[in-house]
Amino acid sequence: MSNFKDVFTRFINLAVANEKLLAIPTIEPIERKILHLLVTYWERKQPITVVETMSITDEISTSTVFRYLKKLRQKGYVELVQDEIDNRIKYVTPTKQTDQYFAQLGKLMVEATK
Amino acid sequence: MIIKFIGSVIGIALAWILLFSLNNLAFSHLELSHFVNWIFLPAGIRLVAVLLFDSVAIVGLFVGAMVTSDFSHTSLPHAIVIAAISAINPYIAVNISKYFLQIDGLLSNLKAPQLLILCSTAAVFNSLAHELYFNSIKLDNTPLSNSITMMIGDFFGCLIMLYLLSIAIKLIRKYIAADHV
Repeated sequence: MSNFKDVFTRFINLAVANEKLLAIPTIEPIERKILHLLVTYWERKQPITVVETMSITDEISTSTVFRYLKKLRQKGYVELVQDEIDNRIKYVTPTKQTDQYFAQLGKLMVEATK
Repeated sequence: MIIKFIGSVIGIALAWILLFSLNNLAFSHLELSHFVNWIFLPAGIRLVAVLLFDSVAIVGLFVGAMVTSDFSHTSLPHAIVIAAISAINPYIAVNISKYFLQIDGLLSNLKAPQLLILCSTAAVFNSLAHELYFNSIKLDNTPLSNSITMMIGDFFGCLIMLYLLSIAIKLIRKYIAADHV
């Protein structure tokens, strides 16, 4: 039979997994900036590669952009789609979560103007 | 050791009884038959009890299910079998899922999406086992629809239970934080 220490450990791990199940991933300021810059390309239906994204702004270094792009991907805000012809090229594309994020922002802006 | 065992069994049984009563209060209008409901909150206790207490949960769930058996709808032998199914199935479902998902004994590598898989597996195992038994004793004449309803009821019961658990943890954290201010 498990001792109470095991039960408590399982409870903590269950609680952590449960929280992640129900939580919406938050965005850090730099991730938000990158996402807002990316949306200008997506709105114009202009494909943007990972390499192009890394140079999307002069304010943040390319390595930092890449690091935060990976975080955005882990949180489900972007997807990387391989080019059909050249496997080395990956395009940064939005996800449903990105659409929901911007829809929510739009709603908040409309409410703020009332 | 025995005191820990009895304490765990009583705790699990009480949690089952509480949620069963709450389910009757809140969701009796969603009942399809005495054994089938579109939402079944105690299904969540089955999952959580097995995850936390492993095999001890079987005894606790069995005791809880026996206490909440309605002997106007079923005889004692049938009630014992139904309670046993209710208790043993989640244990089997969770442990099979843990094996295939490679979740360790202390749940240290348990991920959020895996919780949904555990909910679903437990719901499927439970509904199929109950329906097989009900059909074998001719208790229920509409196998597929009731099986699906029970599966859905168990799944939603699990989800609601997990949501209530997260609220409870947040409240406890707030209380502890307020206590330390």
